[in-house]
Amino acid sequence: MRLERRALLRAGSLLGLATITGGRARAQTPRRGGVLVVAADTEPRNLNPAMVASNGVFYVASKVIEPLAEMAYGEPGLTPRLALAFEGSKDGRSVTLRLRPNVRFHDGKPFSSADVAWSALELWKKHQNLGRVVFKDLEAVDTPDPLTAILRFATPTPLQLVRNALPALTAVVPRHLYEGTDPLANPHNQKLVGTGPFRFVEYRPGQYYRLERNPDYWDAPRPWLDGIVFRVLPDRGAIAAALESGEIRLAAFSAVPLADMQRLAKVPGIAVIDKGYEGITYQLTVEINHRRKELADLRVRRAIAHAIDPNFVVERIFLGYAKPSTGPVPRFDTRFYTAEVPTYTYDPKRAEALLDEAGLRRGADGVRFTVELLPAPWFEQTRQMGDYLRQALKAVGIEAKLVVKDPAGHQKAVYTDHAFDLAIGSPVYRNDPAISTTILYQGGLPPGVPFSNQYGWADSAMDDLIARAARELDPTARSELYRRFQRLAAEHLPLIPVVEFTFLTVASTSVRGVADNPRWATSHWADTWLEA
Amino acid sequence: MARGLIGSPEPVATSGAEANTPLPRHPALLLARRRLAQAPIVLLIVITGAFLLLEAAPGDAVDAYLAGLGGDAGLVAELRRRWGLDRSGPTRFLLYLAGLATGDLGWSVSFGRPVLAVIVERLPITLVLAGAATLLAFALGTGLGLLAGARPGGPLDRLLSATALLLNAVPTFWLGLLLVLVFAVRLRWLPSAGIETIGAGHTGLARLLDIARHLVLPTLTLGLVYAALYLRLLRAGMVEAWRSDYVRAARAKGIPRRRLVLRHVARNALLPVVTMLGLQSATLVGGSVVVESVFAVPGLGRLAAEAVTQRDVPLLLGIVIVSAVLVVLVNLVIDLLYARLDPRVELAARTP
Amino acid sequence: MSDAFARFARNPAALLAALLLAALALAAALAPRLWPIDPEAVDGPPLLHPFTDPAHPLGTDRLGRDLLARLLFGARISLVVALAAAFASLLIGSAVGLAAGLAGGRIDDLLMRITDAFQTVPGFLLALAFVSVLGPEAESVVLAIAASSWTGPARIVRAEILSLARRDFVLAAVAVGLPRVEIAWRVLLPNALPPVLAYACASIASAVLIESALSFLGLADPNRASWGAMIAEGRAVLVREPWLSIWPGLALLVTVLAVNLVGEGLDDALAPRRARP
Repeated sequence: MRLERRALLRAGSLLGLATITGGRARAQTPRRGGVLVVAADTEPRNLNPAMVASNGVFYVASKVIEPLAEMAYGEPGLTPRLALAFEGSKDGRSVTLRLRPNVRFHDGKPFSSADVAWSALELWKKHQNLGRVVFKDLEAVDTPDPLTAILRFATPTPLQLVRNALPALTAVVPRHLYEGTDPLANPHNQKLVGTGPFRFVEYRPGQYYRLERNPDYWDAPRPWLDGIVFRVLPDRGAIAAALESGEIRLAAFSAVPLADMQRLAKVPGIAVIDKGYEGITYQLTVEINHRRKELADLRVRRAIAHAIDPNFVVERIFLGYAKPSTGPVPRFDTRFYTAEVPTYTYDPKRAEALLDEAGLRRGADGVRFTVELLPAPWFEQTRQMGDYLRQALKAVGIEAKLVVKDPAGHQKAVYTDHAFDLAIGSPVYRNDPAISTTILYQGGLPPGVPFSNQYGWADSAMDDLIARAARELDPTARSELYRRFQRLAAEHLPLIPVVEFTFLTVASTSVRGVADNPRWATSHWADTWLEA
Repeated sequence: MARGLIGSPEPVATSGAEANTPLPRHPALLLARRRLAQAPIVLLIVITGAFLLLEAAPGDAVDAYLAGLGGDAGLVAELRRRWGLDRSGPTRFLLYLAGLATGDLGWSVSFGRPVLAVIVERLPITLVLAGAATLLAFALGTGLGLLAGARPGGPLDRLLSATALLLNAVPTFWLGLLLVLVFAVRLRWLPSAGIETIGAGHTGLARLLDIARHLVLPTLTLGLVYAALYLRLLRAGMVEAWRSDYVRAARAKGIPRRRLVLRHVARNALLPVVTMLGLQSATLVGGSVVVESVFAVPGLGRLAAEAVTQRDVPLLLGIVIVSAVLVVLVNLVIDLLYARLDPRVELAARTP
Repeated sequence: MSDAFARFARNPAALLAALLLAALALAAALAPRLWPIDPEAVDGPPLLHPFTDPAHPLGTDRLGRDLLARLLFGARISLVVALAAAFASLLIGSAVGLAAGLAGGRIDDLLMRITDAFQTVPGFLLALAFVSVLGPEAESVVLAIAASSWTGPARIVRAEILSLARRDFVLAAVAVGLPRVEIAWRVLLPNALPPVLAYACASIASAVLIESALSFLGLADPNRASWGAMIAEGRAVLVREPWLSIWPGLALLVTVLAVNLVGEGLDDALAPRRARP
């Protein structure tokens, strides 16, 4: 498959790039210059995207260290970065990558297939939270010449999966700065060196990350900006104030409280953009501990699903910026998504009937049974969902006691100790169900694995389906298997996906070239520019 | 001290309990010497306590690190091994103490850098903030306290005392929010957060002024609350002093009121204020946690809170040690100051 | 004691403050009857302005929960936690101070070094660490506040004991040959207590403020409304709807002010007794 920029743009414009606010489609001639100051609400310690695949890391690091390819709107859905093309063998045992020529790292050394090989084998496969899953069977990387790298897998690995993993999992770091060191303690995990449009200048903890333009970028005359400053502002209210006063020009990842968003949208010179996050769709999910006997009963889980009003969650908690979920795959990914699954409409009466049927009648105090509910501390919305779910359950006679812990405490309670009855989680869907989604349904995982099926639920049909899809080389057949996966998930309801949501970007209208790909906030920003 | 946020309440009358216990000579100096001798034991208790607290916490540094990431069982085990978390608690504690004996504060797992380097980055910010707030509080508090205590019961005294009473009851974080709302959001006079304009490229004096502008609101928030405390303390001391025999005697001698207030009444009443300054050195860091959080100031207080969430044991212990050493140092200075200021020492020297 | 009461009653500010506190306590206790709206229930449109809808006189928060109800229920947490924490810190402090003052020698040394250690660590930071580790339930907040504020009473009681021990009536009791335990219990403790009691109000005020700051930082029991958490919640929409943070802040201010005024009144009323040799 060849990824030509021209072909891609053609496809893109056919698919209506016009709907993308601030995208290149409606841009005038970009202007060079200007430093873009944006808000950052988290401060990752290890910034190396080849080792830590997380949106907090990508937000800063994706401008410095590039992946092999980036997501794009429309077909083929990918745009080339460090790889120009890739090709899979029939047996699914190897993927050949053709790399971009004349690319240099920020320290002046040339980029070559050796860097890809080293990053893949030593970092993606061994250290990266997501790579350890996708590249677990990666045996070797052959480098016949400096611009060709051949990934060799021990077992057949679907090309579709590798392709879908390219944007998030394949950042390439310079081998010469890492080889022979302990990767975890390497100083370049903070002082990044990559091939990207921006060079890393400095990090002041608690204050900012500063990047400057890479004058030697392969996609000259890009980048347009002279630099980017990520200002650390942990408080959302402070971010809104800084935007209005012009101290920052852009806040990504809904870093402004949604309730304030409506007000900001009316401020002249400020735009609220709801595109550019489709490739990293989150879900708000009710996690269930099946070790609790009441919750092991399918009728009870269905009753809980009927007790929740997704529209309330969409309207009150997300102020409209979310959609009800039907299953673990979000609507945006049309390759895998199916709406033909059992659904559970908001119907408290039905919920009560199901609970009665399960033998859990209301006691004298109106309570059927009591649960501990642990909303994850990651987002404001996961906490608010906790408040809402408690009320929704109370209405059908289930008394929930909220237990809020800090991130480490929550992590341990849910994923290691299983000390919860219900929890509110927010899993991310990353462009392929096999990357971080099926792990939520797969049985037999050891305790302590974060964001995995620690729910005490296992189903051999489900496990079989997940294993088959992970080996299926034919994309059409593989997509069909994942549609069956969604149906099975909705039927058994081991966890309840409530809504899917993406984020919003609030920016000054002087910032252009915003949201022009489905992972925009976590992509290169080489096309972003500032109006004079 | 009758203040919540600042930390442990301290009795005003007996605040210098040990200092006020009659001791033979230069009591404050003796106290200073004793403090120094006791410091290592106190420090050991503090370190042990902090270590035990984080040991008791659910989840460790690996849980905190992976809480935002995910991963598989192999990664979890590998990280635990790398960060030395597969060893038993007592072993880790002894290793830490052994390192400490060689002057090594250890490695911060959440930052992936030496603890000392992380602390050194944040310490100046908190020192400047706490120093500015103390200066403001002391100047404002003693200045206005002097005015109030010069004529207890007068109209000015009533006004000042009422204001101080009110300020004394304001939650610091709320005061901070109101100041932000008024001065940063509505009037746009001052920045709402951070400690300098990033990317402005200021250097030299311009940069200092920029930092000063950013520090105005946090300093006011922290300083006003303490100013109220000093005001009340000084005024109370002066009221007491007016009733004392030697002031009455001096009054009888016909010493002018202005001189009487400054040389006898206020000077005596200043002693508890100075003691309080020392006692507050520890609580100020606690108070700054909240203020640093309201104004997004990357200081030591916020770092400590982060160390707790990240379960970064070496970092938290490092902060505790550094702040304890600071507290001991500040108190030494205060003790020396006390010895100089104490009129009893002076009187003893003058009267044959 | 009746003298002291009379003196207290003559102090109009203190009396008024005491009445206010009593009213607040009553309102908190009777909250479900006075204003029968569930403070956790979504009951109206979100972010309703104050004084626009008689059903929600103070308005609603982002989820549409009634602010007046939340304010009244918040008073419960504030008052209960503060009273319990102040009591616990006075209890721990008095016990340690008494033990140190009586035992003297090595035990006194050790206890005072522990006290020093606690005072070396910023009190609020200690409370913060405690609650992060133990979880934000009311019990652990009480424990955390007590842990960060017992040193004051400990020092007072110890100093008091040491100074009492030199007084004639104690020396006399020793000379007569009363057992040490009895001297401690019947002579020293009753005489050391009044200053601690006068200090109690300062403790309570301080506990209210620490509790609110902890919940402002997100360390509050999520099952119950609390003033600090309400301010934090309002902070997210500070610019748009500042009332959300102003109401609970005012409630805190008035409560702490009243406690302090009562404390001052008590202090004045008890002072003559303390001055007596």
